[in-house]
Amino acid sequence: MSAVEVRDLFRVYSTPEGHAAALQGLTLSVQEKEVLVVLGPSGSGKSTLLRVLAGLERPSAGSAQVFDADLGRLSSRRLAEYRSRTTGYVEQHYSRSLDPDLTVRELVGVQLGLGGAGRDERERRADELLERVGLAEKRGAHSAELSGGEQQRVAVCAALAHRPRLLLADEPTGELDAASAGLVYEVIGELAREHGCTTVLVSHDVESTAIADRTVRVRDGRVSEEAGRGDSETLVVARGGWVRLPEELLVRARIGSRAKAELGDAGIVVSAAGEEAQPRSQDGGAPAAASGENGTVLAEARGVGKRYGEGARETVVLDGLDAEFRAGRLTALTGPSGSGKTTLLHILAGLRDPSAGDVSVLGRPLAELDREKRAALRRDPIAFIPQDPGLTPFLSARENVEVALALRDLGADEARKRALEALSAIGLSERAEQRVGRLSAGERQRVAIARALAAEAKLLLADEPTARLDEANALAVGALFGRYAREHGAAVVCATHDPLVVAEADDVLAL
Amino acid sequence: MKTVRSVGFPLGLAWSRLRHRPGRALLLALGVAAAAGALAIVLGGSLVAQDVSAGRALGAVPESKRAVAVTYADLGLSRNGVTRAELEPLVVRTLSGLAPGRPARALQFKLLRIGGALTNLGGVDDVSRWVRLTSGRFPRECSPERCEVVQLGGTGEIASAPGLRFVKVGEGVLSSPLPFGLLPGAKATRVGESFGVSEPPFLLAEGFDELSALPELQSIYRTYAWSVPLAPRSIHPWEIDGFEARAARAESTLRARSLFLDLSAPVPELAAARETGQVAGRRLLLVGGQVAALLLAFAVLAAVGMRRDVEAARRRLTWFGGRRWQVHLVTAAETVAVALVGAVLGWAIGSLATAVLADQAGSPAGAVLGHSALAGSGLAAAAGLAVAAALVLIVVLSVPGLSLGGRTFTALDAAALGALLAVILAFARGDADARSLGQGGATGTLLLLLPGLVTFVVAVAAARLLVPGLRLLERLARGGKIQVRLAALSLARSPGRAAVAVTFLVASLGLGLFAVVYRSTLDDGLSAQAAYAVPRDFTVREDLSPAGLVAPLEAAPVSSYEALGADVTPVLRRTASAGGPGQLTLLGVPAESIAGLDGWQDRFSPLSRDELIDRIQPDPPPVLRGAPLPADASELALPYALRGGAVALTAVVYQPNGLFSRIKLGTADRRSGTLRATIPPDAHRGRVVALELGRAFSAEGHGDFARVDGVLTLEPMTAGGSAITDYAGWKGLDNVDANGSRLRFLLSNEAADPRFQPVQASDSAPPPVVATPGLAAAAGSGGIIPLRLPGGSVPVRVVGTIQRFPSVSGDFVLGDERTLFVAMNAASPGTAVANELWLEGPAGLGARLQRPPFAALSVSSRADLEDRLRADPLARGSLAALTGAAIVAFLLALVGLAVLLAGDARDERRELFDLETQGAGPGTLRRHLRLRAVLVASLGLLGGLAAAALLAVLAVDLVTLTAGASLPEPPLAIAVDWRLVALACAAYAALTAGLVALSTRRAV
Repeated sequence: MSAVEVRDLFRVYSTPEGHAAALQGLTLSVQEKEVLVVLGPSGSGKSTLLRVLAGLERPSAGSAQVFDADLGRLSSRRLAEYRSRTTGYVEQHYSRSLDPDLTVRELVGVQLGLGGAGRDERERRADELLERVGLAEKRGAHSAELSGGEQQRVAVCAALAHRPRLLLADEPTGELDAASAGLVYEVIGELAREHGCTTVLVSHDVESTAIADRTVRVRDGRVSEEAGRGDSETLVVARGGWVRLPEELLVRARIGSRAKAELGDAGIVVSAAGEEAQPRSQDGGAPAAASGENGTVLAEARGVGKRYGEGARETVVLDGLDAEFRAGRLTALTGPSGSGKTTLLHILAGLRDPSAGDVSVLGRPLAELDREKRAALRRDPIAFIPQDPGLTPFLSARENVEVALALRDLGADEARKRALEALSAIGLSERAEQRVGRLSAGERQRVAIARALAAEAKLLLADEPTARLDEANALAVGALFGRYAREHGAAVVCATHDPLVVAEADDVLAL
Repeated sequence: MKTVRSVGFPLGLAWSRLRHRPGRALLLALGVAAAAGALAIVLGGSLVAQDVSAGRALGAVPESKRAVAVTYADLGLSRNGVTRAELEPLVVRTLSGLAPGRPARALQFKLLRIGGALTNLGGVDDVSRWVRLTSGRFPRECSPERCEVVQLGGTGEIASAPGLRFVKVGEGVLSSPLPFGLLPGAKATRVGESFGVSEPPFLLAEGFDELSALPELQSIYRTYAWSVPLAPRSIHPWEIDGFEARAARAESTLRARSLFLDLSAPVPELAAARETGQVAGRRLLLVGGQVAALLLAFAVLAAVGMRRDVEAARRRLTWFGGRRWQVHLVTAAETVAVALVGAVLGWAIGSLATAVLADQAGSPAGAVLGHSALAGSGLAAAAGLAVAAALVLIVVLSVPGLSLGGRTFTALDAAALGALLAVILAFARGDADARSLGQGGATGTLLLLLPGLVTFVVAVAAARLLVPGLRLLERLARGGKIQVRLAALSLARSPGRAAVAVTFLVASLGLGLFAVVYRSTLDDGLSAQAAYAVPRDFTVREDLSPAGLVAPLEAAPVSSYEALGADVTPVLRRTASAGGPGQLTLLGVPAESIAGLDGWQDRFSPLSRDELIDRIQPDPPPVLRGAPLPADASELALPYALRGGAVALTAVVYQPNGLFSRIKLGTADRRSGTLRATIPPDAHRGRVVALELGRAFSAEGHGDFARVDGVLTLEPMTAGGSAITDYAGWKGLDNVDANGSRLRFLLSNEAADPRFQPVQASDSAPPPVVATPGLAAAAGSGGIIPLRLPGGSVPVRVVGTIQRFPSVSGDFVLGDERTLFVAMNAASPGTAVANELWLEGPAGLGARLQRPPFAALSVSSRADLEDRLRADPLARGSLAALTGAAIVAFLLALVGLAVLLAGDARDERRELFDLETQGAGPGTLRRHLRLRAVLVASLGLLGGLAAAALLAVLAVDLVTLTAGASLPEPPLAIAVDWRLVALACAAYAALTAGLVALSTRRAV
């Protein structure tokens, strides 16, 4: 019996600058008591799916039924009842989900209390769950006194205390180290099964599939692939025959923007159609490097470690990392959330100090530079694309790029020239004079990329630059980074979950 | 049960949150507590000020009347079937219900004739309590055989009669006028003496009952008085209504028993004090309301800082399946608890402070609290404040999209729009004026809220204009430094907190600056009032009390005043009419002296002061023409020839000392002869300005229709043998037809003032005057108004309008003193003399004016008047409250800025990080944060200045009441103490700079 039935689900957000679709006809079934893991890159729509299932957002179109309750048709009151009784929700940012003013025991009993349970019942249930996850001793503590893993385990207990029929977990290990993450997955898997609870867990992290009965991949707001426990992944054929072919197959089949499908002996054969598929960069078809310095080490990390917090709350993000980033090469930093990708980028940019080890950029040890000198470094040989770029919505795309260049002391004319070139390179030449507030989320992300490209830096650091981009644009950005590295003799270091970008990378550094 | 628990759980959750981190809501609770405390102090402080003021008002009532008294008169026998003795218990009982203490009993007989001698006789219980002996001893007994008396005044024999033997045992004066306050005796004696009239002796006997029972005085009319004194602070403002009602009931009770019982009490004075106090109280409430609103606004600012935390809690509860009402209940419970705790705490502290204040001011602290902060209305105000605070905080913390600056129409926008409509309606309906403040009621309430409403509207408007303004600034800064551009960009990009901060700064600085302006307006108003009432340092005029009645120039010539070092401005002031029923003031002031008058304000007249002077100043200076009397002449001689009835002749002489004298020349009753008279010394060097013709004494008694006519031919008048006039240029007036020196006269009852006098300049050209608009509009052809004065009519020519002039109220005309002097004395010789002197002089002049010969005059000192005005408790209370409001507002602005700065670096972390990724170093980030703060602070200051300016203009009617809560003369005018404003702005800028430097040094 299906616990969750999602059919052609659309979720469109209204923003001041227009509409953005997070889910685009997603269809999915989850069986009762099944543990389903949803994988997908940032911006693919998996969190939105979870929020719809949690009754926190309404579908824009399509249907989402959970235990026969049509979430799109429930009254607000019924929806609140549904949230209160049917679901348990585990949020990625455990610090946000746990009230710092309540004790662990109180936290676990909150949902029970809101449902009208008495104190005794709340405490008994909290003690039972805390005992189960090994936190009985800390029932009187406040969340701030716990480590990240402990806090997330408390959050899981809090989500399960009222015995929900559906447990929803949104990147529950996104802020944890690998060991803690494993423990949290274990707790979720065990408790969910003990409680006979249908579970939907969304994650970047393939380790999460260890507890899954089934795994699905989401891309561009649709389910693209699916795999049962121990099975290989199968492509999902959506209504109307929509199938998303894996990028790797497309590359191998030299399929570009057009393909033809023919019925073969064993099934449908898809092959390139019309123009020949563009050769991929790793195929050696890239333009020649503009600089003869390619291969030179522009940045390197030696024995770099990074720890956050102290004592019980200490988290080791990087430990003894050695890495080199060479001119003319695109390096993809991969790894699950919390593996230290962003931290490494920040260390390379001189935004944070490592706890151990040395980092040098263009031969200059960062440890020897004070904050002003490191800032000067970021103004000249380094460009950084943050995950959440601070663009000014009421300025045009060009003006946004020019403001950043002005900060780098470029003259107005030169800044204008470079801004237009960079926007053109990223495919936004026709939108250069459009206010950023009127651009889509993907276009805004591309403006942020243009802002970094215009700096013509030797070391380009990008943090999840394709998180808000659709597949085509993600592919284009990956290619652009590779081309930029070669043309400018620059080292491009890109932290990403996106296999499309990874596929474009010359080197992959898995953390 | 489950439902109850689902309601109770959010409450418990709220309690757990507050208990674990009380500091989070501390700022908010402090804001509410401070607001409640301020309101409680203002409520109580206002009552204390009213109490002191009422005490002063009662203290200003003459001691003789500062009592509750009952009078009764009879012949010592039964009157309408009731005797005095039978009435007395009722009188005593009635008085005890009005004032504590045993009444003093006194009686006084009508003027007695004993043994042929007139005697004023009175009696009182315990004479020694009321009389201070100057000789002898106090009387001890009063019986028919021996009635001992003390003489208090008067002269003459102390007679006795059979059965009535008075023995004078001493002399003395009344040490307290209380027992005789309502009886005529003692006062009559004093008045009589001041006129030099010999009054019969005033004798006072010991024993009310004993004297009234003397058999020989039976059937002699006497008046009894029972008086209970009232101490100045014995009746408090909250008791005045009750006292008034009890007095009315007591009077009815007494009258019901006997129509001849009269009750008197200083009810009108107390009622006036109550009215004034209430108006002042409302103004203090206005100030307190402003401060309370300001502190609440600060709580809102603090709440905005808490929004992030509250939103996170609400989000968590939603994730945990909390129903919407449960989520709201948690927020509401937390907010109500904070508001309640804050309000209770603040009210308690405010009440305590009020008690201390009351104690220091000599008011009963318990009663003050019982009628202010702890009264039903006071507690309701506290509850209202708590509810308002809770509601405002719930809205701030719960309503999404409340932050200003975006495109959403928020609850704040709606509230600002409502406030704007209320203000517009108030002005359109004419509700927003001082009269409304005086009347109270609904419109008065709106008026009290006006500053708050206006500031709120301006603040919201400022927040709304913030983003476009910042964008404009960014565009303007494109050619300039990148830091300015970045700061403007960042503020415009996420203006939420900045908008709230600007809103708060506009409100706090606006109200603070308004308080400064309001204060300086009231402060200047006190000086202006004093300067208006006393235009120079001192005004000297006739003291109209019995001990006075001497005109300034009669007391001493101008030269004597000048000898004191005073610069003297002679002023002619008369009451006149212009034909209508109303009266006006005719004021003559030397034109040239107007330029130096302190009480003048340009708004008094559409004419500038110079224009005004120019229009009324005579050219050449007029002179009262007349025949000059030589210095050495002792005799005035007037040869004449007469045909017809006898006529008495009097020479009117204008003396060098500024006064007039009349020299009676005698009666011309022969066909020819010479009239002679001695020239009094004061008249030497004087001028004969008229010869008055009157009926000879022998003509008196001919009845109402007496009529004498004839022709009188005058020879040149001589003084000391020398001719002083040949009458060239003289003319006859009032039934005197002159042909050279030949006068045809007709003396009758209708001829008011037959005379022969030189032609004066004013005869052909009426004096130019400026007049109040109503009078000017009533002027006839050529602007002429005939002014009717005692003794004659003086036409004046209106040459301009004027609304006000120092020392005058109501309708008036103002002219040059010399010109009016000539005109008035031409119309009625000898009647117009400067009757007021305005003096300006060295220190010590006031003391010298207290000595003879000036002691008999009424001297008003501007400095004393200003001191008195400033010492008024209501004025002091108003000024202190405004000072406090201004200080609180500025401090709050700084604290608000500090709160903003503390949150700014935290809230802008994402943006700062983005800047950092783009290469901004710590120095750049610090400059960025500083520029942001400076922009917000500057916009707040500019908005505050605009709000204060708008308030000052809009609330101009509001401030027309004086600091003492009366309608002032002249009306208040907005006064800005620019130095203080500049100082406040500079202090704000300096402290802001310090705060910004401190916070940004630690933030980055």
